[in-house]
Amino acid sequence: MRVRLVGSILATAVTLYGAGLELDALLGQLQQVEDLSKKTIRESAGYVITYTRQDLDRMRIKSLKEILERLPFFRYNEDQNGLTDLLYVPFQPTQHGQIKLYIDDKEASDGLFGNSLQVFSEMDLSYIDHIEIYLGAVSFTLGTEPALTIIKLYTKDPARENSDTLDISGGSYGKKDVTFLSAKELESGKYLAYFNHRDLRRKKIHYKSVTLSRDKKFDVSYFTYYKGHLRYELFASRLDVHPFTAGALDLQPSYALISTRDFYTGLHYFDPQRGWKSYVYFTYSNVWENEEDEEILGVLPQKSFPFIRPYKSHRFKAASAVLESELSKKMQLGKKWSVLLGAIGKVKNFEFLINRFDDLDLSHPPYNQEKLLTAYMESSYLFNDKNIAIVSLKKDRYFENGPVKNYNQKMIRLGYVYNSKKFVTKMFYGEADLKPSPMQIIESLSSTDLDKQKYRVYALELQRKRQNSKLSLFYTKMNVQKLIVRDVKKMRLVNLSHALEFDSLDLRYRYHFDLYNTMEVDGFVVHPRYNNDRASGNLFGAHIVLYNRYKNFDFYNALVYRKWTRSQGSGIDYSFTIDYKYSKDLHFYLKGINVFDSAITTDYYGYDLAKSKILELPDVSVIDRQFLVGMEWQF
Amino acid sequence: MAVLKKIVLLFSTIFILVASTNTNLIKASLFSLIVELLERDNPYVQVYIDSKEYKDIPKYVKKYKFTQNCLDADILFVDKLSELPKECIYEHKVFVTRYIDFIKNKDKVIGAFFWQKGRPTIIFNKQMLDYFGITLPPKYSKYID
Repeated sequence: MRVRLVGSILATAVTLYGAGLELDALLGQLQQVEDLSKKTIRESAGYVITYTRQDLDRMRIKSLKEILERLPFFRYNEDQNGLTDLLYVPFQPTQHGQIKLYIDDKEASDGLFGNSLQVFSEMDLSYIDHIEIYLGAVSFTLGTEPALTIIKLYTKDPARENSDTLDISGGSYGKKDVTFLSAKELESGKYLAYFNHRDLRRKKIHYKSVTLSRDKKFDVSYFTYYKGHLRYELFASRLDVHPFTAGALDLQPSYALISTRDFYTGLHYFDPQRGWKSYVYFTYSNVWENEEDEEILGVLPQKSFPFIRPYKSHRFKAASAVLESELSKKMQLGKKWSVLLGAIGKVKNFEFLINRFDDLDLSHPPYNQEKLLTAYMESSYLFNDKNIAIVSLKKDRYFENGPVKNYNQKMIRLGYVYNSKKFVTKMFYGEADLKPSPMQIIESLSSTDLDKQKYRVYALELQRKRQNSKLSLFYTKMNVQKLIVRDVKKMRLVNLSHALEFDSLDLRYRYHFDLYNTMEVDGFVVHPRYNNDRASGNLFGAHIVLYNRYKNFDFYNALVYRKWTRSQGSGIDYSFTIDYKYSKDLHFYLKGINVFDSAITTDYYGYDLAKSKILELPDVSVIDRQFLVGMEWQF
Repeated sequence: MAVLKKIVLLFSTIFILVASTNTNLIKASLFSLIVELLERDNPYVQVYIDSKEYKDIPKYVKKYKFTQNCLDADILFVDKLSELPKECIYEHKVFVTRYIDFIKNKDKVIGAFFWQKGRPTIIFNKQMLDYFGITLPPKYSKYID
C-alpha cells in the first residue's frame, strides 16, 4: 500500500515537474546532472577543481593558459624560452615533477624533459570536454609518476558530439587559428577526429638592439576510436617556437629557434563492471634547438682555469621514445571495503643526437635509458554512508643505465573523508619522493649524484554544500627536503641542504543563480618559509568569474589578481568572452584577454661577462593583451 | 501523533528518492512531455521502451501503460530501429535515442533524443508529424526538423 502511495505521489511530482518547466530548462538541467565531470571526478583523491564542458564552452577557451592563470597557489609564468613554467625562477632548472598533465589516462610528456605544460599550455583545447585539477600535493593519482599538482584533461565523448565543427578565429598581432573536429557515434563504435593549426603571434619585446619574439606555430591532430571495452588513440603534434631570449647570457640572441615533434599511439581497455583497466602506449618525441649570439650566448663550466668556457652558438637535437603499460584491477570486498591494485612498466630511451657548443661536441652522453617498475595499492573502507578512510601506497623502482645510480621512490597517503548532504570534510597526510628527471641527471653527470627530493604534506578541506552553492576552505602544509636547484656560482645542480616549508590557504565559493548564471570567487594566500625563517612575503591571489546568459548571448567575465614576491610585483587581469548564437549551427564570438594590459609581469635576467654586471629585462608581460574574433560552424 | 509521524516518514522517503534519482526524474519529465505532445487526445496511451537511456522510466511515470509488445504500443522509444520488428515501425510513432538511427531513418521516425555538441537535444521530424496529423504548439517549433 505504502509503495503504491509513494509511486503515485512520485508520478504526480514528475507530472508537475514536467508541466512546470519548459523543454529548454529540462534539457539544460539534464546537461548539468549528466555532465561527464560528474563521472570522472575523484573526490577522494584530494582537493579538486573542475571546469565543466559548459564552463569551457562559455569561456570559448583557446588554451590551458587561460585556466593556469587562475590556478590557486600559483601565478602564470614563462621561462626564458617563452614557454609555460609556473615555477620559473631565473637561472634555475624547471621543476619538472611539480605539475603534471594528463590527457585522459595518458601522461602528456616526453621521456626527457618531463614538463609537459611547456608544450601543451598554449595548444588548442577543442577536443577536450572538461578539466579536473587536483591540487595540494596529496592529490596523487595512483598509477602515474608522482606529481604535486595534477591537471587532467578529458577528451570529448563522441557519442555526445555527433557533429562536424569548424572553428576559425583571428586576432591581435596577426594570430590565426583553424580547428576542425568530427565526432560521431557509429552503428558499432564511435570516433573523434581533430585537427588544429594555430599561428600564435605574441607581443614582441624590444631589448637594446634586438626584437625578441615568442611566436609559436602548432599543428596538432588527434584521433580516437572506441569499440566495446577497447579504445585506440593516435596523437601527433608539431610545434615551432621563437624562444624569446633563448637563455642567451646577454639576453640578445641573434638567431634562435626550437622545434618539437610529439607522437603517441595507444590501446586502452576498460571494463567498469569487472574493474579491469589496462593500457599500452608508445610515445616518440623529437626536439631541435638552434641558438646563436654575436657576443656570448652562454658559458660551460670547466675544471681548470679560467673555469668557464664561453660559446657563441648551440646546436641541439634530442629524441626520446617511451613504451609504457599499466594493468589495474578494482575489487569490492564486501559492502564496505574496496581495493585497487595495479602495476606499471615503463621503458624510456633518450639520446642527445647533436649537442654542440661551437666546436665542442657533447652529444651521445653515456646515460640514455631509464626503466621503471611500479606497484600500487589503494584501499578504502566505508564505515557508514558518510565516513570513509583511504590508504594509498606506491613504490617505484627506477633502473638507470650508464654511470647513474638506480632510484627508489615511495608514496604514502592516508586520508579520511566525511561526506554528508551539507558538509564535506577531507583530511590527508602524504609523503612522496621525487627523483631527478633524466635531463637533470644528464646535466649532473660530470658532477655530484643528485638525491631524490622529499615531500611531506598535511591537508584539510572543509566544504559546505547547498542546492545552489558550494563553499570550500582548503589548507595545506608542505615540507620539501633536498629540492634540486642550480648553484649559480658552481654552475651545477645540487640538492638544497635545508628544508622549505609552505603553508597555503584557499577559500572558494561558487554560486549558481540559475541554470545559466553562475559566479565563482576564490582567494588564496601562500606563506613560504625557508629553513623555518620567512623566505619572502606572503603570496596572494584572488579571482572572480561570472558566467551569464541573456537571450542568444553568453557572457564570461573574469578578474584575476596576483600579488607575488617583491621582485615579481602584482597585477590584475580582466578577460571576457561574448558569444552570440546566431542560429543552432552558427556562433560568433569575441574574446579579450588582459584587456587593460595590467596582468602580473616577469623580470628576466642575464649577465654581462665583460662588465661583471647583472642585466635586467624588466616587466615583460607573459599574458599578452589581445583580442580575438571567431566563428564556429556546425555542419 | 502516529499518523503525523507516518506522514513525515513518507515525505522524507519521497525526498530521498527524488534527490537520489535526479537524472531519472528529469528524464521522466522529458519523456512525459514528449508523450504528452504526441498523444494529446489519447487518454489510454501505451508505451514500448527498448532503450538504455529510458529503461528506468516506468518506475517514475505511472500515468501511461507500458507494454512489452511493440505492436500494442502507441509510442515506441528505441535505441536501435534495426532491432525492432518491421511491423512495429510503420503506423507507429517511433522515437529513437541515438543520433545515427535518426539520421539513417528520417523517413520512419517521428523524433529523436540524442546528444550533440555536448548538449542533450530533442528533434521532432516534420514529415512524420504531418503524416500522423500532429501539430505541436508554436513554442516547440525550434525543435522541429
